[in-house]
Amino acid sequence: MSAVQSALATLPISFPDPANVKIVDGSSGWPADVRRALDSGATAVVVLHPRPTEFADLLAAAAPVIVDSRWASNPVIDSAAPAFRAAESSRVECRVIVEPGSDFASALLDELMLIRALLGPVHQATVRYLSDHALYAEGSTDDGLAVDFSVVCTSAVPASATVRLLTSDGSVELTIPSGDTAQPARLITVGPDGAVLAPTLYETGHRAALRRLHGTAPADRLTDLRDLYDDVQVVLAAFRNNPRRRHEPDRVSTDSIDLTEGTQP
Amino acid sequence: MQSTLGVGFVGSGPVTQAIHLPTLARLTDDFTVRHVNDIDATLAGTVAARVGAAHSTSLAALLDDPLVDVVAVCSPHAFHAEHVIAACRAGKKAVLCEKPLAMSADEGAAIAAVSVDTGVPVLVGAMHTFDLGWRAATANWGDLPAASHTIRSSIVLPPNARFEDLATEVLARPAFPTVDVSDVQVRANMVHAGVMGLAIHDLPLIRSLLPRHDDLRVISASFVTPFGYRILMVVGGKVVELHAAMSQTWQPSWVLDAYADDLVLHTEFTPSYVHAGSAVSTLTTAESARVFGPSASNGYEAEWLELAAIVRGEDAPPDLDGVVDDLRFAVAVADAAADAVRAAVKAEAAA
Ligand SMILES: NC(=O)c1ccc[n+]([C@@H]2O[C@H](COP(=O)([O-])OP(=O)(O)OC[C@H]3O[C@@H](n4cnc5c(N)ncnc54)[C@H](O)[C@@H]3O)[C@@H](O)[C@H]2O)c1
Repeated sequence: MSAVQSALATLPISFPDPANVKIVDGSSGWPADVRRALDSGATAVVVLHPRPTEFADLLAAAAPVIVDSRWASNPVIDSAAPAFRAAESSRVECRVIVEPGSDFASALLDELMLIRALLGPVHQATVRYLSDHALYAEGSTDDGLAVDFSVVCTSAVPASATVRLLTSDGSVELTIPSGDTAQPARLITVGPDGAVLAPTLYETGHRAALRRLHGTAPADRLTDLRDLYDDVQVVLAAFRNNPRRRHEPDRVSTDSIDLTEGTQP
Repeated sequence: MQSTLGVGFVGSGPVTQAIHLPTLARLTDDFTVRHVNDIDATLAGTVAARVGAAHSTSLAALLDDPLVDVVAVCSPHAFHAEHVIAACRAGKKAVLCEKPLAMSADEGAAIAAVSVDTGVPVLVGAMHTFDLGWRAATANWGDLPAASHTIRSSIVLPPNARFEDLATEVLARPAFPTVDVSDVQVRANMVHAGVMGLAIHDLPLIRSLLPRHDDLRVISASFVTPFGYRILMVVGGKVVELHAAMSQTWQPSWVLDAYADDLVLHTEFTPSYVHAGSAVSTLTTAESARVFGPSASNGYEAEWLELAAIVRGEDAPPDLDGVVDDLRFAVAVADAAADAVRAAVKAEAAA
């Protein structure tokens, strides 16, 4: 919350009256907070790192609502999306590192929003593995690009998201740091002639999200919420279809491989 | 008695030419190449001439050569067990067998039995297991084997020729077979081959992080075009992702990561065939990172030096039970992954 507040202070010309922008923390119950902010006359609302939850009634909001997403708000997206979209491949990896104890549904939602920003929406995801420490899921974009999602918990290294797409003669790889600071993301495109590191941008995702809010045309003011809504449905369905299938370390299960039903119990 | 150990090669393909001969050229205090064997007489003769060694097309001739103290088995996988066993029975001082040791756990057990019977030590040329950058990490990783919960191996490789051609001047390179990957059986076989050919380098390292592997369960497996695999599995209470992709890229990336809640191991290996020093491992906690390597000596050098030390009695012979268990694990992963490729297609058809 305060991170967005302090980012607001770095845009004094765009937001001369920052009090008009309401910042809502995305922890559970955020839709009610957004509703309250809108009812109290906020000219714009920023939802910070929303957790997946139902919020259909907000889709008709009267003021712009911007989603400040953990990875997808990073300013690198503007240059990364064309690089990813230009690359030909049948598979992309999306891997994130988060703190132990993080909410996996939220982490998957953040990954879906990142892939949407880079390559387009994923309309269905299947959780392949879920434990207290990690999540693996699969999905695909409308273009049929398979997406391998993973979420791994550790506090040994800072949180980050990595998206890697391997082509027939190179790769596009993006690493987005935690977002707590303005540490830049790294976008590296490899082709037959060599590797290119895209110019680095020392701006937090919060500030980039606010710039986007400032530049949003009235017609697009709810695009963020609609996209979020779609991605939330994918996450909710993925978790509904796949109740926690924790691995039981003491169970010998070499004979229990059954992929015909194993992933959709 | 010779002052160096005489080496005889069974099979003189790209691995002998680009990996072992350049390595032994740096280890002339310990080794002299004495004999080069291949079913292709011209190839054996030409490669032998490069190092001033004798050559033959029959295994018996190599094994009968009194100048051959140690045998390096660099023939295709299917012959490894037969060739290793023959070298042991011939009473050689040691055998270095290229990975994989064999194609089944039974073959592996047979090799182990013969090695014990004859007293001839057998090493598997799985260079990552000898790599100083890896070994230093294992000596310092504390309770990572118990605490790690997630393991990832990812191998991205250009065509082998890119490296072979910079390591030596290769003769007689086998063509990559053209295969019909629209056939699920072919894809399953390719995934199997990928595990036994590529993942095999890191499966022993992964096994050293597992309390057990008899509970292996492959969650999903797929073939990656033009050649590779992606396998997700649960084993020893941990989730393991195996990934490999060979393409026309120039940029290799060979990493092994192991995650615990408060410790992460990240190891970067060089590609195969190159002579560019050891792996570099980093053990990271929230407070600091410790880096191991690079050492100038790579895993190929380390395996040969270990073999020399074993023959001289300075080092204990390898724990063959462990080596056979490595093979059992690799075969189980390859079989289960191939099954999963076939099962996924059946599931799709049923849906
Ligand atoms: N350690 C590594 O980095 C690494 C890398 C690649 C391959 N390898 C392993 O090394 C081994 C050899 O690889 P390669 O690429 O040189 O293989 P290859 O199949 O290209 O060459 C093997 C050679 O063995 C010969 N040969 C076939 N049958 C024989 C027999 N019965 N007796 C004697 N020679 C015979 C062939 O004519 C060929 O010249 C394989 O087991 C492979 O898995 C190791």
